[in-house]
Amino acid sequence: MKFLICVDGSPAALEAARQGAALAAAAGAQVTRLRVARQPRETAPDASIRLRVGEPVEQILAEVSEGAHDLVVIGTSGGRGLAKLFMGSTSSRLAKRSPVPLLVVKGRRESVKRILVCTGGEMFGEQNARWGGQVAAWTGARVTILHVMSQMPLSERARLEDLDDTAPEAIAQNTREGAMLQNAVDAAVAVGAAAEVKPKLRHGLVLDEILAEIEAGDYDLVVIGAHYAPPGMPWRGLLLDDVADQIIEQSPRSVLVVRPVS
Amino acid sequence: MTAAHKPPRAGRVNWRKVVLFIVSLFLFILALQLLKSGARALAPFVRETLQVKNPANALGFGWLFAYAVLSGSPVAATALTFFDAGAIDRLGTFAMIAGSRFGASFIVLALGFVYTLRGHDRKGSLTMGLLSLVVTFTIYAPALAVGYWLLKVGAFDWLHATANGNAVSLIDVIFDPLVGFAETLLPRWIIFVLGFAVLWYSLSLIDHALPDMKLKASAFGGMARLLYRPIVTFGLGLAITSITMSVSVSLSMLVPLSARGYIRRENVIPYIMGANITTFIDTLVAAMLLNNPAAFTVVLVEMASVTIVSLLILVLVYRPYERAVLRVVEIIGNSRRNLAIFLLVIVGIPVALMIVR
Repeated sequence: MKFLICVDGSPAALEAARQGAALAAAAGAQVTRLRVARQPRETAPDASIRLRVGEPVEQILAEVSEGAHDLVVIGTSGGRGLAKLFMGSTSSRLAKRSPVPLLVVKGRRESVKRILVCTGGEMFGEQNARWGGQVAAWTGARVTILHVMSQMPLSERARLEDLDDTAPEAIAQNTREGAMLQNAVDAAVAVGAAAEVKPKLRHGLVLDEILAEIEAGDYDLVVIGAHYAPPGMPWRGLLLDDVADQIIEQSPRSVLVVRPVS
Repeated sequence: MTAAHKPPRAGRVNWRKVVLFIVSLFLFILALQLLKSGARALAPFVRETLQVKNPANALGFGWLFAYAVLSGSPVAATALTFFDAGAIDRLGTFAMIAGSRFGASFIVLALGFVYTLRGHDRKGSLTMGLLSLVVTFTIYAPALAVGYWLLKVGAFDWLHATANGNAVSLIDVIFDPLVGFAETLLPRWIIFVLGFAVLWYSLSLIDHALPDMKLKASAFGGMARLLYRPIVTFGLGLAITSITMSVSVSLSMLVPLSARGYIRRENVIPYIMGANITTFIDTLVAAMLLNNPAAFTVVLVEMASVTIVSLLILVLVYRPYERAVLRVVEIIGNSRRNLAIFLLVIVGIPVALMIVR
């Protein structure tokens, strides 16, 4: 495996480099550190850091492509003003375009002990679970697989019994959500998540419930699927809400954005 | 499946629906002409007996009238004929049409209430009705203020449309003899009641003449599972209702999208917001057919004010708005007591508005 860690000298990037390096060590991955300079006269502070000149997102994507990296790690300051705007927009744009998973490091955490995997309600939930399970296998973290049901009844004929299910009930009754959660749990276990892998179903608005779960469960890492438009259907990306982007912006914890592969 | 029930093949014209549409349009225009004739005689009754003398009274009147007939569109069209007859002024017409929408949103709740009485679960029966009501109230209340201001400053006075001269002449040629015949036989107030009944019936016929829309096979088929951008479902509600002209019919279009009868909370609120705008299209057409430019302007201001408020909410405060609406719906639907209090409030407000002097 090959990790690309983006550094720019900011405290957030330093923390991203530290956490990225720790994860790479646990995974036995090879690390490339990249600094993107906007001006050609800038130099790399350290010979081990690759330097590229140009627009950050374009240069990071070019490096991912040329270096055949499997994961990109980037920091986000969570600070104020333009810095936040710039870093936030860089991670958001990378999340939309990166062909490989993107780890957006937020805040200081000594280790990854708890991982929250969000399933998106589509088949890609299993991919998120595989990545969450993979990180759990490297770090020994416990995993919670979360699905949020924001559905409400449209008419008096709606099947209300599924709307209040807990995860065990949904799995036992093999409802759509239950089957999806069970598949995600199996996927996480299959890639080596050895500690606890627990399914969870919450009810309410998707974004609010994910943020509430992050807060309540004191997670160190959130895994979510990237905004996805199938090849040949770019309009689908325009129609669907970009929950991943909102999680990147609002989550107080690091977010691993997984690129769906159809 | 019998031959009589076979759906028409794609691309084929459904002549049954075409004929139904022509008949319903004929009845719609006839109803407007009858209402126009009857409304003049009813002007003193509206002003003196019902005491509809200011915009607050007109708001309450439109609201209660829509409750009584369980529909908003006939009441909105009636408001235009009252305006045409001079029974109410521009602001009163604007308020009465807005009141008709407040009352119309009650229909989904009323249907849900009936289902609850028949033993269906309260949550399944009432949720969509409550949501529709709360979204309508929270959009139209500020829109009333916006529209009042737009009318006061005459922001849309330059923009009015009527049916073209030939169409008006044709309408006169066809309908004047029919209305004249009714006038010779019946008192004006009966002509008004007859006109209202025909209007009500023509609108329900239009519902049946609508083209069959199959959202399930479209890009919006995932409304029960996927999260769409709010502006997308807002646009969808806007588009669907420009054909159905009814919020409740537009909501029923969503039912086949899920075998379990679900929809994502995130998708339905903007859909209702969009539907609340184009539900005025039949009223706009009625204004054109009445050949009254000022009536057209009033309906246009109604649509513009609801659009302005909806877009401001969508762009600036959508997430907090969404949370607040869902919270209110949850609180009202939590117990029979809360629901009873809510019902008392939404009946009490229009009654109180009717007695404002």
